[in-house]
Amino acid sequence: MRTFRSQLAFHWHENRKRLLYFGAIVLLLDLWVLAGYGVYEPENALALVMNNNFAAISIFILLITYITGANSFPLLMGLGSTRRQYYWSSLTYFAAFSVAISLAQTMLMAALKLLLPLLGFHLDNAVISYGAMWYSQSATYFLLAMLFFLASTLMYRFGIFWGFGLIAIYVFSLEALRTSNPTLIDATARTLVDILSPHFALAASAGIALICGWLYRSAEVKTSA
Amino acid sequence: MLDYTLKCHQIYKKLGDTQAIHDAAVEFEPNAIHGLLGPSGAGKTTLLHLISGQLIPDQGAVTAGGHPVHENPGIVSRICFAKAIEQAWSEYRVQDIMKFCSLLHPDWDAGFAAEMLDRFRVPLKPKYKHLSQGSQSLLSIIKGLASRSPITLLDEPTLGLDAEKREAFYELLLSDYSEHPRTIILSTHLIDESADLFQYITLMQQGTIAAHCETDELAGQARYLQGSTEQLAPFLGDARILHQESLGSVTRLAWLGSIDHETYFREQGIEITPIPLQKLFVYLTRQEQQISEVLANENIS
Repeated sequence: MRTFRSQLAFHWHENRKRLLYFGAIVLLLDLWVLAGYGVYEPENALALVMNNNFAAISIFILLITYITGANSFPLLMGLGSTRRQYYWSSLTYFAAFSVAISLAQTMLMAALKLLLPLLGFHLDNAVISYGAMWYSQSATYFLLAMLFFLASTLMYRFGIFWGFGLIAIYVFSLEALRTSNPTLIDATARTLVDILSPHFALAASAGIALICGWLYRSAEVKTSA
Repeated sequence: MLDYTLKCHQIYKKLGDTQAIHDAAVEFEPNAIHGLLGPSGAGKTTLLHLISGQLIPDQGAVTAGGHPVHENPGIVSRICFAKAIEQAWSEYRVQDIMKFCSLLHPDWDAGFAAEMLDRFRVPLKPKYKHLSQGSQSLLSIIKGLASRSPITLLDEPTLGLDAEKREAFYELLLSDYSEHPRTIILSTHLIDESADLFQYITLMQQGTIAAHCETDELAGQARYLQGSTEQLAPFLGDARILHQESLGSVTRLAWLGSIDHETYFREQGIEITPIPLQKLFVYLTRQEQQISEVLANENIS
């Protein structure tokens, strides 16, 4: 248990600075979106911010999962971890990150819904279910994390072709399966969660996690530069 | 202290199309400093990767204290493998790397690590990739020693170090080992410099273990015979000769194995002197097939 906590502490220590910079950049972008576009479409202000944050968080997830697959694996193996320990600690970290970042995003939405009217924004009257928002976003981000984790695992083990191949399949499958033409302000319309409901996304994530686990059972550290 | 006798059981490992390790079997005596020697490409680094559990053998197994190393958290966490160049550290600052080590090595000695960083003037702020080769090696050495791991593997630890720092490392290794005895396996090409450190020597050739014995035993079995060419002529075809050189009427033979009539030789004026370990290593690696036979006959390995 102590080792598991140490490994989670490792993941946290590895990414905390990135997370801090990322958070600062996202908040600045949100202000820019609200000031630049929100004032002209006040009824869509929340959706604009959410769309912006979704894109930013997706890119950040891509970054940390790539680093975890390509760099943290040899690093942890070189510091006395087993493959199984690395795998479970990474999975736990991604799950915790997805839940935490969704919570932050949901709380931001709640805060903006309270604050923006005070600044003169006339928001639409749509009722937001914060619990459902948190859950669906957690599922979305976790699914993205698992897909990119799989891609970075494939890249590390079998070369860049396999990783990019997986991303291409992901993009093409979205294109083929999406049910309605996504609008620019609908943040979740471009993801698998738009097609599958969040709990199916979690099931898909579990399936992908199993594939990752299988790949890591026999993964080896690269011995050459 | 737990018994961490390290044993490689007929290991095979292929990397790409190359059979990097072939039928490697060796038992490393616990709480001793081992020198892992061999020419470039002999499989030393691959063997260390296998011992540390970072590579998985195609056949065979590595055990420590009778327990398999592979995916064994209780054992793997007690093995510290310090490489001369750590690719995975490239993007991290020295202080982050030290933090990672303190988090993940259960017996990490943070005070010792800080003292060594200060002594060797390794800066904390720069990224690993911006350090000189010497500082990168020093950081690996600090990781290896401060981990206090019962099994410490050092792969070319002196790469890029100047003579003064190499000497400081050898002194540090010995003093640290005397305070914290453990199994240390050190692979190096600087044999003469480090020969005094080794209690045991493991010689690798073409992916297999050619010899494993006590340093004194190996050195005691190898001697120069120097005398007139005429006197030494009857021995020139002997399988125990590793190397021969002649200058005028004087011949010198590098001899591995027992000498049957040592007193007689001395009476005849033939000089018998020890062979420096570095020279012995060069002769051994040149004559790999012959050596295997001699070592087997002489019960050295």
